Amino acid sequence: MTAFDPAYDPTTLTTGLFYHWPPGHDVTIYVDPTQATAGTDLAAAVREGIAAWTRAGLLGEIKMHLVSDLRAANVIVHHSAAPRLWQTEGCDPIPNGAAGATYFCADLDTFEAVTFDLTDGSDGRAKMDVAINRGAVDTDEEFRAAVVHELGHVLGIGGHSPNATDLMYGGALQQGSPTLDDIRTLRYVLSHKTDVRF
Amino acid sequence: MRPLLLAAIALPSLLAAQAPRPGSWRFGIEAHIPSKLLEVNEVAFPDSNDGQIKVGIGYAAVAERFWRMKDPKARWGVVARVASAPVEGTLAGTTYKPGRALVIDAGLRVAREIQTTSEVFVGAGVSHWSGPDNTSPFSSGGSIRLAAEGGWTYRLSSVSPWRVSASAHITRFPQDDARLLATGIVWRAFAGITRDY
Repeated sequence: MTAFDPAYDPTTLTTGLFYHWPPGHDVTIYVDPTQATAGTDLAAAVREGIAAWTRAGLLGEIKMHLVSDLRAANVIVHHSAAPRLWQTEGCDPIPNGAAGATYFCADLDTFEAVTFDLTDGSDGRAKMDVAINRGAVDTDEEFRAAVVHELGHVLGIGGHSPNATDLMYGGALQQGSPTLDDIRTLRYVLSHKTDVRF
Repeated sequence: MRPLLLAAIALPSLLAAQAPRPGSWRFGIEAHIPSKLLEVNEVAFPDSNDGQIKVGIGYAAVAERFWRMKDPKARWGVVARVASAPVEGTLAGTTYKPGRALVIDAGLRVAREIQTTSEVFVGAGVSHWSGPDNTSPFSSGGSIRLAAEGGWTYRLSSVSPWRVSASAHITRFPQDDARLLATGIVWRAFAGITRDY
């Protein structure tokens, strides 16, 4: 392995397909606070995750920020118990009971990510859904780590690390911010042309 | 003959008045010539062939205070420059613009006339890089970096205070383990016009 090979396969959850937002695209994230468990601050955790991941940027390629307007969002982050703010035929997330789940749909003819239909009928631009399940973790630290972990999936890491000390580990998280292996893997993803266009 | 004699005396006096005096100032404006700053191949992914970041056409203002040396054709000075240029990245076949870079240079410069109208110089100092955020080498590692320069100026005429100039600069940026960035050097170049006072 050279110093800049990915630390782990970033496509195991996407059947070998690379996906990521265009480099430099400012990914807009809307946080839905509905059904929040007492004491949890989902928006604060997302802000923490944004800061952690953007610090890993080498060429200004990683940009994310929160928006207060759902219609302006590329990504919707919500508690798993909250009713979904979008409904698109043929594109339904599969509940898995995990601490977090990131979901998007791709048109298999064009390999373009599908824009969700917002339930309030307005035009939106959201193409990713992130559900966080506070009940699946024991501590607030694990909750925040789960949010940061899911943002790694939002940026394009479509796989899990086999190493329990990495943020992108597929099991109980010990790490709350991206490790060098996570950063190396994300860089590897972003340097590749995407198979699914966002 | 008397007027001619006066002219003959006046011309050297005029030349002396126009020539740079000890403790003179030089101010100028320059164009920041586009240059590649980082090639992803060099610092990140050997198997990626299209990742890079570069600066586009920008502008700069330069000020220099200089003094004559023992050699009447040589001088030394302190120089400061403020430059702003747009930054452009290319990654995975996509071109994007993370923002503008602001670079402040300060250092010492030694120059020597090589002909009546030409002058070459070399210098060394430091550069402070800021912006765009999360874009190496602008916002990683230490913000003050060692820098060096070399250049040439050409006086528009033997009595003119105006000069055109061209210079090349290198700035060393440090290793940044948090971003998996190896140490390296970035090149920049300027072309402009200056005036002596």
